[in-house]
Amino acid sequence: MENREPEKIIDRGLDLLRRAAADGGEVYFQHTHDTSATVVDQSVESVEAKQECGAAFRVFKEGRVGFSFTPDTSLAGLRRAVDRAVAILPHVDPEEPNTVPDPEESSFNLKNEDPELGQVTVEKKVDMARRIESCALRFSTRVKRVRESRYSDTWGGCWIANTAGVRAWYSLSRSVGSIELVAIDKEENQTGYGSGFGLGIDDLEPDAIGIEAASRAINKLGAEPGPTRRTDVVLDPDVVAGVFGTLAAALYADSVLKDKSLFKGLLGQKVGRSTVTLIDDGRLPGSMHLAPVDGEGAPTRRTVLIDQGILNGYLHSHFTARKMGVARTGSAQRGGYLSSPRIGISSLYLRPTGVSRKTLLGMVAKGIYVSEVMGLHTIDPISGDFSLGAAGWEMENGQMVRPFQKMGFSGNVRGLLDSLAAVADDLRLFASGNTGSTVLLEGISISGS
Amino acid sequence: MSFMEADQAKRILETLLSRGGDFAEVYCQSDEYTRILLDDGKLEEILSGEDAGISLRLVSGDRTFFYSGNDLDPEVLIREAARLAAAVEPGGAAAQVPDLRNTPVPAVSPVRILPASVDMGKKVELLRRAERTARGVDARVAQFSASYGDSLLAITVINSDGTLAREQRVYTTLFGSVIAREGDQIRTGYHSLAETRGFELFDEHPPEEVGREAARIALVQLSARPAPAGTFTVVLSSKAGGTMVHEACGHGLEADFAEKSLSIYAGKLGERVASDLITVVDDGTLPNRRGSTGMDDEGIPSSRVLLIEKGILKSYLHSRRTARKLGQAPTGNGRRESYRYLPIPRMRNTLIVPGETPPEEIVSGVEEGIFVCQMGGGEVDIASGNFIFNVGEAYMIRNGKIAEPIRDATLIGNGPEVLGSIDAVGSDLGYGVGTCGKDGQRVPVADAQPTLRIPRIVVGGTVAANE
Repeated sequence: MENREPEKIIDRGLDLLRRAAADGGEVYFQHTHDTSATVVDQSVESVEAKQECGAAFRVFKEGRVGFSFTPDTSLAGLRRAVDRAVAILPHVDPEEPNTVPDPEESSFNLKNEDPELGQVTVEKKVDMARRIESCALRFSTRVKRVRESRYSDTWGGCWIANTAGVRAWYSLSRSVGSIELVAIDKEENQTGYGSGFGLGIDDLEPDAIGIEAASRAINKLGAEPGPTRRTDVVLDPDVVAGVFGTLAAALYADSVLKDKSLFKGLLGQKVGRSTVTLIDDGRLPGSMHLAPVDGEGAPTRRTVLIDQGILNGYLHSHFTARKMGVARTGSAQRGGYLSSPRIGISSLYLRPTGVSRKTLLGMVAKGIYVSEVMGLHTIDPISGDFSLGAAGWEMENGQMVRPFQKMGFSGNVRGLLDSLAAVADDLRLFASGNTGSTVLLEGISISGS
Repeated sequence: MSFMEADQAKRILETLLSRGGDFAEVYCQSDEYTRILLDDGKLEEILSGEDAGISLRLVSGDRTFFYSGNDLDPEVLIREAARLAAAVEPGGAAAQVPDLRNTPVPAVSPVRILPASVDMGKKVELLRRAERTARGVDARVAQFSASYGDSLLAITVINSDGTLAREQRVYTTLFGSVIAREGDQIRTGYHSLAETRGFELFDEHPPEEVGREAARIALVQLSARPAPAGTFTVVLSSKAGGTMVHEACGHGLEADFAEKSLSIYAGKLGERVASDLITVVDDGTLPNRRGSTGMDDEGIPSSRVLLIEKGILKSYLHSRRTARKLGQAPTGNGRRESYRYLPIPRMRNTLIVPGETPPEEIVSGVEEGIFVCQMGGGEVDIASGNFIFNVGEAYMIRNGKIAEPIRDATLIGNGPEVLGSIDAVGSDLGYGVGTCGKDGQRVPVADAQPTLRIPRIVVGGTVAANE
């Protein structure tokens, strides 16, 4: 494995930072190996392999911060990146909390990789994609076409060190299976998507992935929009994961500091029903974003953001925690070496309210079950307003009686938290990195025909 | 600039085809870019870096084997090429690689001032100017944030057809966003400039334009009432850009969807898919437009592709792979986000060709409806043709006149149904710019449309409490 010797790169980086015209700095190095196999009609369509590594630097001087990155981890490449970062400093506005992040002790053993993954053969990966496809096709004869059935995996490692004494690293591996297909009935086409993930290929359940995609597509066949109205709404765990994952930006401390959050100034105040306890957990076993430290080397942890309807805290980086005079939450995340650390969620979930999914569905006399939404990226985390396309089922007496599609599901996040009546105990972790359970909302606006 | 010599590339191609195969390619890319973020008066972050990498592709029958990496060591590349070749069915004879010839690539968007040559202070000042303007518009402008970006992208495509094509692409962008407040009302507005040209972009479009327009939209939103929900006649202004054409038909015409019969437009070449008022083209040759390039990311020269002519489907958007599979000519739409990805069929600049009706006549013909001036993001389900997009700025139309502003509207519809129902096409044309996501890859695009009237479409809004 040509890691290009991470420890040596980190040491070289630290040395360059100590000599730079700055107060100190941070070096980050990562290497990743990705492979994927795509199958259609049981035949291989593509096999892809990617290898990449790169280093990123942050330099700090009198409250200013400069960031640069490079794929060239030779001494010359690293020096060029540090010089770029230093050259930026005079143009940036200073702010006192911008300092080199402090080291923080933490002991934490986590299972974050399957050491066997690097040895899995291409044939076995192709076979997994084939199995997912055949499970989906077996589920119904109305599943006519598969866009792609895919197995992909990634493994690699991250190293973070700074001139204040942080020195951390971790490795990870993830296997993902997914399928995108089309169910056809008469002239109507409907798509369905299913996915699953684990640390290694043997964690995947091809049946579950195939069946999820097939049933999603089939359920939409023959669906028509229902009437415009205000009604009870059950959200599928997948939808909850997407909606809350997007709205979480309002709970980032930097959004609050910049006055771009509807939760600003509400600490200790009621922001939803007592049924709402919202937690972000950087150490949730088996989750996609599991890591011992964040992108600044701070230990990850479990953070209760909303506690029984009361706003309890925000997600923090080193900067925002210093600025607000609170403890870090280990939420500074990196999207790779090409971008600087940003606050983000790890595994965000609602604490169950003591009901099973079956009991929750039984609470709905008349309403709708939203199984899919479109346009999640258009949610406004500043105002909290959202307006999404929805598909799912009309519900009567806890039963799903008739599919619908092309309806609009709109409102505001505050209204959503006020209307949250129950959270089921069926937490699901998704390959997207988001997490969600089935929830019941009361009195929501739905637009349709 | 290129870090790949022709003889080295030829050796890699020969290695890729050493056990047979139909097509091999080496794709090299280097990128130097700068991004500057200004937030509420504070120059918060400047990000400056370089990125470079290579991908190798080997096509054998319907199978594609692909490698990408940023280790540029020639030995590593030969080893990876041999590994890809080993995946081809054994027994094949080595395919010949012809001598490489320099393929001329037209300069679609001439660049006068390379952003890389501009002092950082000047770039920072653009953001400050936009902010001063936005704040000067009205006291209710509470916050302004903006980002500036430039990118100098150098691409080399070398393949087993003998093609050796190089292109330098320059992208310059300025994005501004305003938050306006009045009491407990918070509304946002944004405006962006994004073209394939250099720093001279700001001679024609000064940064003040971004500040002023973002502020105007946010302030309109403050006085807007919640959008009604239900089915309405909607007039899409040409100012709204082309999100609708992009979502409602562009994606469905990308040939990878059509090839697998996944798109609602699959198998409909020569058939009616829209009203006879509708002609749609995708054009990569429009100077300075955000989706323009001299060649696509497979070395195919850019061109204007007629997709729908007077409602009749004429062509799909092709990459090399889909063109080969469907027995058609490549259209220059094989695009990739970077060397990390396989090229797939993508839109470039997609537009509905203007008609003959004066735009004001289209509005005056609507008794009650909605006039949309700015669209937000959107999404489409290719198989069903169902789409959704958000509306940034919109007004009610009452008795043929534009009335009060509305907010938080969403348009929900079906591509072919909407295109088939359009009963008026304006004589104007307005562009929008964006970054289009597909299969995890983001590419710069532009889209445009004239003023259009859709007689009936579902508007997702907020239901009044008494409904």
